[in-house]
Amino acid sequence: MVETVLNNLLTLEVMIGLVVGVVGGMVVGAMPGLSGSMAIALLLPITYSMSPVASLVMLMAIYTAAMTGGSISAILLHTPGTPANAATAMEGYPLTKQGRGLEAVGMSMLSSGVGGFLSALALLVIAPPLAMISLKFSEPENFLIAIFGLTVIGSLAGKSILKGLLMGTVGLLLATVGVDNVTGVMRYTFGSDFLVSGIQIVPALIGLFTISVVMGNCEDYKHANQSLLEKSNATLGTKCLPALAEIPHYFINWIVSSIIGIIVGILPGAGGSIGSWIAYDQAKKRSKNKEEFGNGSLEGLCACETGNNAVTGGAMIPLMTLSIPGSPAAAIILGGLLIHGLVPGSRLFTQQAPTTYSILVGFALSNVLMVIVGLLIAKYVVNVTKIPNAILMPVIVCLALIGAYAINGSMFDVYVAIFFGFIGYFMDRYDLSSAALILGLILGITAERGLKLSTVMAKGDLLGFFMGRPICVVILGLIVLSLVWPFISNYLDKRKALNAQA
Amino acid sequence: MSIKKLNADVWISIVLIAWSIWWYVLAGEFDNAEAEMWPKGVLALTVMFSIFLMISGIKKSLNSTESGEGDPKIFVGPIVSIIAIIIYALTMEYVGFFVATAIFCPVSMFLLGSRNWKAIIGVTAGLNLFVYVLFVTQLQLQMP
Repeated sequence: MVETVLNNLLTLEVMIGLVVGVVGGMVVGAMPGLSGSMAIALLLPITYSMSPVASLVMLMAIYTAAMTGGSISAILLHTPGTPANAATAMEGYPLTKQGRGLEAVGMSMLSSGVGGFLSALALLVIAPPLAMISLKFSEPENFLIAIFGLTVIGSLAGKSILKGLLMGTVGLLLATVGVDNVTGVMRYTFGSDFLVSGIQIVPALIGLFTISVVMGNCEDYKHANQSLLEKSNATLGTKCLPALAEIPHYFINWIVSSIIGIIVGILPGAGGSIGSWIAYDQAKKRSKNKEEFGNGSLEGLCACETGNNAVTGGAMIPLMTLSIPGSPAAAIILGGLLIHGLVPGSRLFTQQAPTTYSILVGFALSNVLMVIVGLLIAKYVVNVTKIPNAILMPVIVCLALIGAYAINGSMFDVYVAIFFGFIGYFMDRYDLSSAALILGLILGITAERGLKLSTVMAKGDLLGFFMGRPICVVILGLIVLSLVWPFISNYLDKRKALNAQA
Repeated sequence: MSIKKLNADVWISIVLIAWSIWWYVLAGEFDNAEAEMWPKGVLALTVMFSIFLMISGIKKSLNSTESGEGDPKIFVGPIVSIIAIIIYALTMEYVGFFVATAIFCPVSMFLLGSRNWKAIIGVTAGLNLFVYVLFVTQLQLQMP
């Protein structure tokens, strides 16, 4: 197995994918307004012609590197590249103002690498046994797990659980377009041959995560030619990495923040921001130098960057074992897995084990490469924020449209991307979760097929049938918990606030 | 309460309910009763969630003193951009990707305020070259 994994990884294609993923992710992550999700969606069509290992390693490298890239602009410009870097900006920018910008960037790279690498190890250790549970899954479990995926991402991905669930059902409806797999009936095709095979996921992803961002950036079109870098005139200093003697000082911080990030990542929909803030909060509570927090603390920076990158591997655990993405970016990577015939579950770790382990080891390697590349190019990456939106947005549109076209060589897919971009803009604006919609679109067919076959197997008593299957009972319990959790959490927060006032 | 003060959630729910009714009617026309079962069930859920959203939106509208949607001028840029993207896609179909891009990129960069002609021409040429190398020579894609 080890030899096969090494043979799979040590190819020119994988190495190029790894470097493109790390550098590309870092550059995109450093640009405020652009996200790793967008970069993954944009590069998804290119992966069609690549091997599964090279393409998935590239996509996962983008995911983790974008999170790190976001810290560069957060530290040097006080502008978080991604929402997960907000805490980083709070600690990193004061360090830049003190002339220690390079030291802060170095700590960010190192911590991100540690968090990402440990989360990749957790993925390698936890995912295979967890995936074996899916061996016991039949159609009823598949149906319920699809519904569970939708309820968790609907509950946690946006501000409103109701809107999340609503978008999940809209995604399920859009998945009914095309030929029904069970009966062969055409549904909602409106006489168009293009819709017979349903709405293609990749153009929809490109629209929702790329064109909608372009539209959002055009809200402030009068300032589209201004660049962020003009704001910064700080010196960066000369020290880059912590001295060897300082490393033990951060060791506990790295381990604790990584564990927090991994656990948060496993919780579907929680995402990098939550991982980052919880790790930061815990580091502050443990620290002997609490007064430094908020004024440029390397400890705080270390915690939040370790925490947000540890989320990436954690988010892949439910994705690769049970098809439940832990974040919007993971939902897009699910699309990437399916494109290459890699269906999450036990098969990934049995029949397709060499490919899967190669991808996971590649993901771990990308975190190591990210530290090296990041330390080498961080000073230059910040220059990408010099590129004004006026230049950047048209380029993104061109790449998005040609990417959508490239999937089937069809202009129809281009219009699908534009359509989803249009509705995606309004969804973003009114806090309707794009991730829930795309997950509904991806899981719709599984859910429908699962329910139909379960109904046949149940012979009339569907609820009794579900209750007679232990795994179904557990998943039903999890569905109920995911639906009521936001209310419980809200109640606990209010109680905590009342207690604090008293 | 005037229509202007209605929260966006109310409008979203109205659009989704109307869409759901339309698709429910269409589902009734499917040749096989089994094929319409799932869409109808999901449509019922969509309507239910939309009604909840509408009620929540109405409550927000009643509690708010401000107009529901803020300044509509905010949508000018996004709407113009999507129209430009549609025109770009249509142009692509008739004159081909490379010519359409050679027109779309400089024009949109100029309209967005860039006056750096070296950057505009360089980026447009570089983008066309990149797409040609990657999609035409490497991926063997038949371009529009």
